[in-house]
Amino acid sequence: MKIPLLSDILRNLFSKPATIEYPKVDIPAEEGYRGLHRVDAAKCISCRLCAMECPTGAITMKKFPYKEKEIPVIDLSLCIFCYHCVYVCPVKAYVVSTNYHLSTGDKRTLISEPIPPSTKKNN
Amino acid sequence: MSIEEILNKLGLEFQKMRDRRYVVYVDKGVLKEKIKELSDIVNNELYLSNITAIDRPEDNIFELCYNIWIYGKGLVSMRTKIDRSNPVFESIQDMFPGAFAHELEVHDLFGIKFEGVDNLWEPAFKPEDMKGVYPLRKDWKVKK
Amino acid sequence: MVVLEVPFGPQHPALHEPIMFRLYVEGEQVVKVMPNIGYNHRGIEKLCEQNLFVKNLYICSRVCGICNIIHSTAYTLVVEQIQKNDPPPRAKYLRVVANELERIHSHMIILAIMAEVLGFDSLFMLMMRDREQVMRMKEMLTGNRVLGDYLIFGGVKRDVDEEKKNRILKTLDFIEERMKYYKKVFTEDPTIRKRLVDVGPITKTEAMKHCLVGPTARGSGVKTDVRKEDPYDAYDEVPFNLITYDECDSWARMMVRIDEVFESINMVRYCLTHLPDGPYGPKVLKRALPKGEGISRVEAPRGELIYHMISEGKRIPYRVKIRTPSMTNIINGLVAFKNAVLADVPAIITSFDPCIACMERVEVIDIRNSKVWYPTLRQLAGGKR
Repeated sequence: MKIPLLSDILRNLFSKPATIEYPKVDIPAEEGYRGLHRVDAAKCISCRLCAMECPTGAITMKKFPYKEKEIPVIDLSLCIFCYHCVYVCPVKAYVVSTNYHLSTGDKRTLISEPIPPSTKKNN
Repeated sequence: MSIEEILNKLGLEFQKMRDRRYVVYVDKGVLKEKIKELSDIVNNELYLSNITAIDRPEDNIFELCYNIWIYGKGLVSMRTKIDRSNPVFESIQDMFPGAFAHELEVHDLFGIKFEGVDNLWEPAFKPEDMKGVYPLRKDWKVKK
Repeated sequence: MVVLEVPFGPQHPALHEPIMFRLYVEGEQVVKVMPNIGYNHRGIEKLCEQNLFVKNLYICSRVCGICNIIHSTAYTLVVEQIQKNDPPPRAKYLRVVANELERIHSHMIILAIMAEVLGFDSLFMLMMRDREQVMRMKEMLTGNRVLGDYLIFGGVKRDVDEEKKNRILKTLDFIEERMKYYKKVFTEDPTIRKRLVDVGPITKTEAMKHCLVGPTARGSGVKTDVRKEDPYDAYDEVPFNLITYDECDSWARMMVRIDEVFESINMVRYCLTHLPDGPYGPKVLKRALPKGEGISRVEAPRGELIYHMISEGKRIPYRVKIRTPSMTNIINGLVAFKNAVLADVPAIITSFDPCIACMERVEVIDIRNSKVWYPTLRQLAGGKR
């Protein structure tokens, strides 16, 4: 009587386990993974399109001291990372990344603030 | 025979939504006979896809909608209008035993009674304390 | 003989989602089965009548986690029918690639779950390890392993370049090698054959009368597939075969799924090597929904999925009706339990590929002041109460 998985079982007996021990070993995400996103405040024109079309209502418009119009702020505890806001922005003001290490013990840190405009003056 | 010739033979007026999608409105008393005639013309090569209901409170009717796919030809959506204050209709489970799942959902969430069968129970999809409450009608509001 | 009532579920090690079957048994023989459903019903149809149609795209794709790109495709097709909006050819081919990758990983997970239910844990672990490569391909294409929010009205959101194409084609070769090995295991292993052959038979006339769909019906010899009869996107240009088996039992239903994985691999290869040039998305997103109606039928891994939408000209739809394949297969498929023994019941239920999330609500009970309330999706997503 033949045992069908014998070759695979013997190979697995003499090799390392397939588990990746995550916090000690980092797993890099693929390029284009939908991770943490923030608004570039220098490019935003305050059209409010991302806040109106967010499916969960995670984006609110807030006033910041460095600009006179309001800029979107993302509440990450409501965000589903669908990137609809990134897609519909008419001036492409969202800065995307592949950062997914977002777990935290304090819920008050789950806000994604916009990137303030740079204060260096170009020559 | 194309679908248009079949529907003309049955004597029904239809509208063509697009390629392979047709909408037909039938009177309440003759719907079951028309489905039986349709099934005889195409030699039982039918597939009942769906039974659903649309609530129109301003006209005081429910529209029952039977979506039927004819193999090799297209989808025919047969609709009929029933009274909203006393919604009763006859069941087609004797022709299609597979209509049981769809009639159960319409009975549970809209409150339409199907006469001629006794295997529909309530509440099936809803939680136990919502017996007698029909959430998909327009006058049941979602609590905020 | 005495007839006993045995509850199977809603919490059971063989089931992955909550559903309850009341089994009436005489000794070991099952005499009657009554289902008890509704543990997972979330009221999505009522929710779709309260939100804008653009937001409904993201709600409807979260009906099911395993087949979410298929739900997205069906909703996009129905809105495009109402708006009279045609996507460009490159977008149609990319949609076929995304749908077929979804089909490959869904079939691999149900084969692995069937091996686990039968007690064959080594096969379950090996198949799940190989399925990780398929999830990596989905991540390259759509941006996320599970919930790929890839489709938009009028096209797709992202493009695929040469390097990603070559990596996907290389991974597909690896998956094909492994699936040929697993097909040999399912065909020749004596344990699997003893547990699956002649268990849960559904004849061809019964399958047609009870309106069963998908691989459950194709395992009984019914030639039905939405991709051949009613083609959408690019399925009329991509060549593939319709798989049917005539043995009518649980073994035939699983073999249909294995052969469909090979067909899907060939379809993805054809689409990636014959991609037309041009734009991949809409120039401008159309935000108006005119008055009208749309019906779209799509082939999910479990059967035929049909979406029906009626709009009255406002941006909030009037009625959205979703009929998922698992609802028909599980409630109408109780005819398969005719001659079953009690130990066959998990194998038969798993061979239908039950996806209970695709079938139904969430009810919240506040213990402190014993109040029962039905929350909206927004409240459940986190924060605000």
